[in-house]
Amino acid sequence: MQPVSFGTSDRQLLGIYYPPEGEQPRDAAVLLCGPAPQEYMLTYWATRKLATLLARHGFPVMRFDYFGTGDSAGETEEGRPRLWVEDVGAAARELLDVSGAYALSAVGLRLGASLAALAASEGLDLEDLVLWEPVVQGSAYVDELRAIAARKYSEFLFPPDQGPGSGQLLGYQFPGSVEEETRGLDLLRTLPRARRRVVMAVSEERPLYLSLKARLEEEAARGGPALSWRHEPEEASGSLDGALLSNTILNAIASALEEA
Amino acid sequence: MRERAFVFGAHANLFGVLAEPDPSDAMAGSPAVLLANMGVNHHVGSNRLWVDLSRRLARMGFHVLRFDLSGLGDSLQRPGAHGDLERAVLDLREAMDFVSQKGGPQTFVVMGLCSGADSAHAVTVADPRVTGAVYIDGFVWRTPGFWLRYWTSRKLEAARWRRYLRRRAARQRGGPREAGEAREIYQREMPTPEQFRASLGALLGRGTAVLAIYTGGLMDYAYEGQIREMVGELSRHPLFATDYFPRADHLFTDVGEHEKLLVSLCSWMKGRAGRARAEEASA
Repeated sequence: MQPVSFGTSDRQLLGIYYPPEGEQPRDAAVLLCGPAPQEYMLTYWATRKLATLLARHGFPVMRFDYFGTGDSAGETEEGRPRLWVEDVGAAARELLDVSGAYALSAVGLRLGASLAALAASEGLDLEDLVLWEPVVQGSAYVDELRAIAARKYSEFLFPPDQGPGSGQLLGYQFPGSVEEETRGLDLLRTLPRARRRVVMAVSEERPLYLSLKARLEEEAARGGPALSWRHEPEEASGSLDGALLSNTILNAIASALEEA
Repeated sequence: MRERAFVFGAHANLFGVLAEPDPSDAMAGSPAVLLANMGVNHHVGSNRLWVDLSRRLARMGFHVLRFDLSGLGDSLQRPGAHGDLERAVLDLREAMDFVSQKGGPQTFVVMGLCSGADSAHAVTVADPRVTGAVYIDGFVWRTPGFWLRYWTSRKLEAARWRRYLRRRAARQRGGPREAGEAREIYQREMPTPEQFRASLGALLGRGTAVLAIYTGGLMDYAYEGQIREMVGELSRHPLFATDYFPRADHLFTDVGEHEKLLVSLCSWMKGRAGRARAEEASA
């Protein structure tokens, strides 16, 4: 495990590089693209586990924090999807540089899946793109976060205002401009692309996942990237707890990336 | 201000980010600040609290290391068999060694939230390099004043009745849950009231400042003065300070309360730096 600092002088980003273990490193490095701030802490352990798992399987791996999130530079309210797509590109270049790999795959979790897909649509060359519990449509995602917040805050003596216009959501600054940008994300309009294959790794068959699957199957039939559908129901299916703590989906992602 | 990430420690198993002030801002003689895990959350802190605090303090002139205790966050397990607190003290001492080796101060303030206060307190007791400690929703026990309010005025607070209705409605609605909603699944090694008062008295007696902060989100803490009832005469010691955030939840989720906490911590640290300078001048 090796910390790496990259990006521009006014947008320094922190990544953690995991060198491949074993004697025969794989050809493609794997970039992990995490979710947005609201789901950052909850998914941290899962992304760390996936990084170490993939490194043990011989992949050079890097995970990183977007601008305005985690340890990277920037105030929370300065981060926004448009900048984060650029960060995916910067992280990809850094990973190829530090690992010496010639090819790159990406695993995007939740909003990170949308960001990686957008980066690919804008020219980032990916062998495989894994969409892990992807945010298919930004509007549905923001509504879901607000529903989670409403339930969570029902336990608070003084619940924070987290509605539209409050400028905050689930403990983080969430300016109206960021909400607008987030709501505009739509993988059904900007279809995920990869040189070889798009993998969907999901723990439940949500309607939006199935819509994206159908679109990707149509695309594959027209000569686009192949689609690999990995539905791995978790023990605690229906809640995020199981998806975040179990190894099942992590192993499914590792085996999908291992397939030649 | 600049930040750099390091792997450090005797076993090269600890991971942290050191925020250093610009040389022109650095305050000679002021302590460095150590921030470790809040429960099992990694060094970024809930709602990015430790990152925000690190950067603000570094801009004021302090060195700040936010890091993961061994086995948590990005830090690897420490070899050997140790109890939780024993391991945390070893980690925190290695963090102090590291900051000093990097040209930082030789004295420290350790801050901890929730169970993070346990390790902060343990190392403060164990190591004289710690000249200040901050416990946020740290040590608490129910006092006669707590029970008095529990059975009387708390029952009449409108906010509690509103919460009761919100909870009931949320349960009936169902819908998505956040993983973090699960109740804490680990046990804290809380000292007895007598043990805590004895160790606090020893710390204050040796010149270590202590700031105890509480929120309205801590179930066992009912009113602003409860800490004074808990520690008695020690609450009047000039090195002992308290602050209370009745509208904040345990993790300062509301961005306004988050900001107020940062202001409180920075203000207390400014006082610590002033005192350190005065002590240096009189030495």
